Amino acid sequence: MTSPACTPTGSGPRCSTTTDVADRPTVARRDGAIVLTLHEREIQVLLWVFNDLGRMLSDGSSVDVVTQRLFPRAYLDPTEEAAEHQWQDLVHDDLVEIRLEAMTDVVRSLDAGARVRGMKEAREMVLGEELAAHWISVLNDARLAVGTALNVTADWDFQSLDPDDPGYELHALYAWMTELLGALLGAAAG
Amino acid sequence: MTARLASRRVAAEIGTEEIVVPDTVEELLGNTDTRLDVPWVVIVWDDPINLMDYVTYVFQKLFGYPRAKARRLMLQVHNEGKAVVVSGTRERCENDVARLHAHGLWATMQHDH
Repeated sequence: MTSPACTPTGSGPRCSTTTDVADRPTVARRDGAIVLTLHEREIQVLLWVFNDLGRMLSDGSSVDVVTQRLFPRAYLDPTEEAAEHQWQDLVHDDLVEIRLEAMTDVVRSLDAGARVRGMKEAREMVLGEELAAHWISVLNDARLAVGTALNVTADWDFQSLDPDDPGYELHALYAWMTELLGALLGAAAG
Repeated sequence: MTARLASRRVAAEIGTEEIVVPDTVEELLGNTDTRLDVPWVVIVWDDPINLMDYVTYVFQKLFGYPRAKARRLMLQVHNEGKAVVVSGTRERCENDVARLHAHGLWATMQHDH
């Protein structure tokens, strides 16, 4: 089941692997652009996630479930095995490169986030159309990677998770990224 | 296809035989079922991670579908487990599958039976 548009996280997910990410993401439109405001700690969490994802994409040797989800087969028909290999040889490197280029843009925008007057430790990123598309794409890749690693299913519900669960913080990260992506999609749709 | 037909017309004119050469692809094909030209389809499969709004957004972005059509296809994926989102030649479908994979959607292609 395709996941609903936004995961309700009324109290906000915790993500205290390195810090707390407790605030709802702030996404707004200004002069035709999307303005994303994040806490410094949220930025650090995203940089950690994106760098980890970038390393996995660059590695190329992994055949785990996450890699298989990010780079699935084109042909399910076993009689098309030769076509599948040919297609993979043709597009795989491009798919990696497209993702890494988008990620580079996103990380660069995080690094260049401007301080927000009156909001201590907050930074804002102004996303034009192309950069917003890269943000949406990279954030979705990150959700795919984390969600697949967590074996998220259609009935996944963050609110029902036990905070003492060893995987709780990763679930919290997934929930927060879900909310952020939902907000960005809403802003992109105008 | 158009250029190839044009060449055949010239060849017919310089020859001595009267040869009827069609002017258009449609004329050439006659009543032939044009589905033979589009034997491949791209299928997007349901998955528990991609957001409904995200899938709609990708269909609009990649295929230029109006929001209503993109949303209808997304709901078909959501409710029925899969949906055919585009059809065409093998080359076109391989390209579209790659574009869908670049956006994280689980897409495959197969003959249109």
